[in-house]
Amino acid sequence: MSPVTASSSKDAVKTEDKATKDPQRCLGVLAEDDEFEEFAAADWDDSEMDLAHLGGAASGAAKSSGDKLWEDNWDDDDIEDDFSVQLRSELARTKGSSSDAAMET
Amino acid sequence: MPVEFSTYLTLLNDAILAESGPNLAYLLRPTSPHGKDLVKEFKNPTRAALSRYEGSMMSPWDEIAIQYVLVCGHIAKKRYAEAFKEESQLVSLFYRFLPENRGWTLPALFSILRDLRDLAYDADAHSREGAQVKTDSMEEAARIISKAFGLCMTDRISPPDQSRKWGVYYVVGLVLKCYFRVKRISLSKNILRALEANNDIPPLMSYPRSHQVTYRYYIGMLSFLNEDFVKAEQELTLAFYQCHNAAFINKERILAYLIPLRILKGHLPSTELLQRFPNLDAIFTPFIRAIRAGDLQSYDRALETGEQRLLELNLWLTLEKARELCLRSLFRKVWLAADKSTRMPISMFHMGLKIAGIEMDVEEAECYVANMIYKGFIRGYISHEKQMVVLAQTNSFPRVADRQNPYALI
Repeated sequence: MSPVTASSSKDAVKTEDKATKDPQRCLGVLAEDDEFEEFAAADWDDSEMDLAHLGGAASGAAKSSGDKLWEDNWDDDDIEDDFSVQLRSELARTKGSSSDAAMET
Repeated sequence: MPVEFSTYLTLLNDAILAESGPNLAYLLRPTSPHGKDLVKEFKNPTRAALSRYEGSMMSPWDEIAIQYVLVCGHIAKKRYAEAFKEESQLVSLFYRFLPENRGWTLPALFSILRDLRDLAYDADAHSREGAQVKTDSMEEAARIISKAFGLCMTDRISPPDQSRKWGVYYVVGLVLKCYFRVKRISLSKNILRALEANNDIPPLMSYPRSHQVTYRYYIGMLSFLNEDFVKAEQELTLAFYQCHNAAFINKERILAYLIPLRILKGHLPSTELLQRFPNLDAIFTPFIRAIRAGDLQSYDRALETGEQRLLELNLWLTLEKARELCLRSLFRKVWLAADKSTRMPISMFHMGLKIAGIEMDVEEAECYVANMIYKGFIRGYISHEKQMVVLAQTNSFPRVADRQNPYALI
């Protein structure tokens, strides 16, 4: 069941080419239709929702407590990226010059 | 064989006697095939022309049947405002029938209220004054639908499993949809207050999942827009996890707001999740990548590029608030470069910012660090005199997800 004429713009949006995943366009797709849609069925089984795949994890949890959809342990100790390398060399440089300065006083 | 009006009356009667909500819904739907048949039969139906049918069925069904023909007639002639008006009248008449009847009527009630909203949408869409979109009909629809809330709540006669109370959350959902559509969400207050005041209805969890998920989505969104992030995250989480997997657009819509809320909590959406939702992947990945890398320039660039659209979606502010996660990552990298030292000069953080392309005074850098400590991203204190940051021996940079009350510190 759809509104008599209202859905024509909605249909146009849906058939729009979504192949180009440009953030701007994607935002547009979301904004166009600002209404939560009617569900096809009134009710459904446990197996048909993401809740079923949480296993025993509490709602609101993340990967470390069993919910694979969210990362809560994303700190890494990688120091090989450009920024870290540059920073380390800068720090080494200034440490060198400041210890020279200390020795002079 | 086209359905004639007299047959239509019989069909209505059968549906009512059989207490078949779905059949009644079908019969009252303007888009059903018999609608066209009836319009053809009467050519240009007017109330006057149909008045001779009054009394042909028990009240109010004689009038409801007449209303139905009038609605279909107006739709056929693209007279949307009139169609909406006549449908409003149909709904009012149905409301007279409701109190004497049990929950079997709910499918029909839901259906005519949906029709009412659709016609309100059409009426408003076709009555624009220049570029100004009107909202009068949708607001009127909200008012009319709200009456159904009371009629569902006050069912004292039906046995619990057949009660009209099972319609309450669906009706509230429709009212909230109206207010969101006309962008007057503050009007939601009244019906929500009435809902909370009443503990005479079954708990939300007992209702059909579609009712629960829709309701939670709108409560989540209301909370989000009112910056009650704790409640927003709770409701949208439940809405997402209980949403039917095939309702992709709805899941995507919920996630669009849940993701930034989770990010603020220190939960980054996993690759697995983002792969399922390519649109959200495209929107959020630039921010997530910048957070992981501590790349403030990229983060700011992403905020700038998406500004207009993100503002329209009410996401910009939230993502702007999440910027401090990116800053934290940056400072953590500085700490790593200092071999996780527990005593770090402010100048080191200042230098880190500089290399990251963010120019500022040392004083400002000190402010940034102080803020990080205040918000629990860094554990330690600043010796302002010595311009030194003294970090906790253990867990100097706690996991973002381990912060207590993340939303309180925004």
